[in-house]
Amino acid sequence: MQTMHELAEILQKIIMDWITKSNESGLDEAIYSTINDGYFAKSDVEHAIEQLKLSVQRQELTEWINQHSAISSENVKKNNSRRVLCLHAGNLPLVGLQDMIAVLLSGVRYYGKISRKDPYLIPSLLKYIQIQTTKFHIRFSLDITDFSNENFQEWMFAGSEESLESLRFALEKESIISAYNQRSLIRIAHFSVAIIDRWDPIICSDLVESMLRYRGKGCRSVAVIYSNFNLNDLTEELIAESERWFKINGGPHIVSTTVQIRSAYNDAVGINQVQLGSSLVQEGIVSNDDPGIIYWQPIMNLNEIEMQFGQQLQQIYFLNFGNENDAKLVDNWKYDLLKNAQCPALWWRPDGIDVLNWIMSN
Amino acid sequence: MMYQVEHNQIYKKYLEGLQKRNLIPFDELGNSSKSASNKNCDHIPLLPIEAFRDSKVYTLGEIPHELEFLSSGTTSNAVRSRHYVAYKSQYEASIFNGFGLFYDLNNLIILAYTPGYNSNPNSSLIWMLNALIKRDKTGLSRFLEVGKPLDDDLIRSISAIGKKLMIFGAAFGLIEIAENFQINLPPDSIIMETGGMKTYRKEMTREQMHKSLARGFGLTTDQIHSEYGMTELLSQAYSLGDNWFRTPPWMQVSIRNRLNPLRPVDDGQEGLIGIIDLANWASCPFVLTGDLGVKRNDGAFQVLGRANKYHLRGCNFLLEVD
Repeated sequence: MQTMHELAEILQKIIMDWITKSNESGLDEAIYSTINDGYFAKSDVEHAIEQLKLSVQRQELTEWINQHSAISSENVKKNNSRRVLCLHAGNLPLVGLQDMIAVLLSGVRYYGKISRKDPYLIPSLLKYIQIQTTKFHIRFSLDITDFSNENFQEWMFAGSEESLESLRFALEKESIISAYNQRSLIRIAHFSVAIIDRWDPIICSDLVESMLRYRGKGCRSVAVIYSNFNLNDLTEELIAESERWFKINGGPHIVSTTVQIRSAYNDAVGINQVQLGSSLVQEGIVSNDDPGIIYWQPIMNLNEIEMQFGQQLQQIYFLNFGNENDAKLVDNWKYDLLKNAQCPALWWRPDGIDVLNWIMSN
Repeated sequence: MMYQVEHNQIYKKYLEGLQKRNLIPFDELGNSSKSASNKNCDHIPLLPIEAFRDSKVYTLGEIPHELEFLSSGTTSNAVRSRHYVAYKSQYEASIFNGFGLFYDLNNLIILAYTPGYNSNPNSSLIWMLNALIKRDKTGLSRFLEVGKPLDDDLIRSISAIGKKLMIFGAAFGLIEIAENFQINLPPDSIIMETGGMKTYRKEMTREQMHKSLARGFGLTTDQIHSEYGMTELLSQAYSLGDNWFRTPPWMQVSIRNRLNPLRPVDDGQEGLIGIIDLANWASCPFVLTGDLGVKRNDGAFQVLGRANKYHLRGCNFLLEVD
């Protein structure tokens, strides 16, 4: 029986090989299909894989385990009979990876329902792991009915609160999950916000990346900016930086109808706005759900921000944790640096939940 | 529509903006022989309801409005919508004529379990209830004191004159009164809930809420009716116990695509509720609400709740599409 550290070592090596030997590992083919079939932009896929590579180089799997003193080889042994169903989202490339890695690290049997919106990348890695080692129990499918009558007692998903009951009902009806004694990990955060109280070209660059990466999708993307600067005063710099960003990352993409309608509305009622490619940054009250619309607000205190958005809010980004007052912010999972928005550590906590801890705490 | 284009600067600018972005054809502004007034109502561009919050939506320029309604902000610093109503008599006409299509006003006693008119004169709902109450010549219709039990003598008096009792109130208030007090209503009474579940302490569907109200008031669920109205509209739709709302003829509902509200969705499909309310002629009759709904081919519609604002950004596992 392997310890978790040994499993982490094995997994780190396999993931690194999957990335660096991309031709023989099948990654190149998965990337080509993902881009060619129009699931994600090339730059977003490359960004996601580059971030994974950096995480592995930084030995983050090992570090993640080290954060949990209670984890031992005994736990892994115990976990070997447990099964967890992961219902992976597909709004970003490799978005389900963290859940998958956590399950594998813990020694639990992994059952993955792969999203049809990201059908190549995670399966490519899973197949490669299966070829390289038999240390992990892996089963995955794009078709949820392949898990009928499995009666899983543990399952995890990321989505909306409203869809949870109907999802649970549908899964129970097909006996995919057990109707009794089930345990689930549900993540419902939808977006992040940034506090911008200083301004320079690096901040501008970080902000543009945090807004435009993945076209604003994903709960770590910045949807609302709180600033003591007026949007009008920064418009030219934001446009220039976004043009630079599009040159590197491709785009701009077609502006969605929702964004165009909102832009027409803002013009009609006199709300300040600036178009950054397919994204619209605007003043006015936060009221739209399109990932292409970002709100620029006067600065508010943290309690008010957290109360306003509740569980929908993933992170609040700061420019730094430099002064004494900010020091206490470092330990709160909800607070992070703007520069980390689109390149989180492997152990970042969706909805504040450490998924490895969730698995191990049963 | 021509009148709005000519007199509603906000709506006109909105249409110009849509036109500039090639989202609507040139003749939308009435500049060609194909007048927009002949347009299918389902395709009329609807002004987002936030316009009543973000700007002054009023077509009569310097002519002063007689009424001004404010939406109820759920937080102390919330920016509230304002509806400027040109003529009091026209709101009254819309209330009485609309209500009269569904109920026999002369045979009803109305009790309103809401804050009274004096404490909330800027609420369009309270104004409407006040108008209905004042119209009743028996003197039995009235605002009830919130938090107090129903007056048994009053109920007996209503029964004695042979009129039907209708109790208006926000859903949460009605549930609380039903839970806290022993109630004996005449068997043909009607409960008219006006929404307001978002401020209630428990998550509840409309169906569950109606069952709870029926149980609490000792009535059947078909005696639990609903009113659908809002500060930004001068007309109301009513559901007579079956959860399907119907409108007076000068009010029309069209369900719009969430991602492109310039397009209607097919009957039976979910989308944003769009309203055309001709009583709103002096503000804007073409309103896109933030509510989700579904419509039947006979025009009746259901309200499915608020369109959640933040779903499109985050992770979302949907069994249907996955």
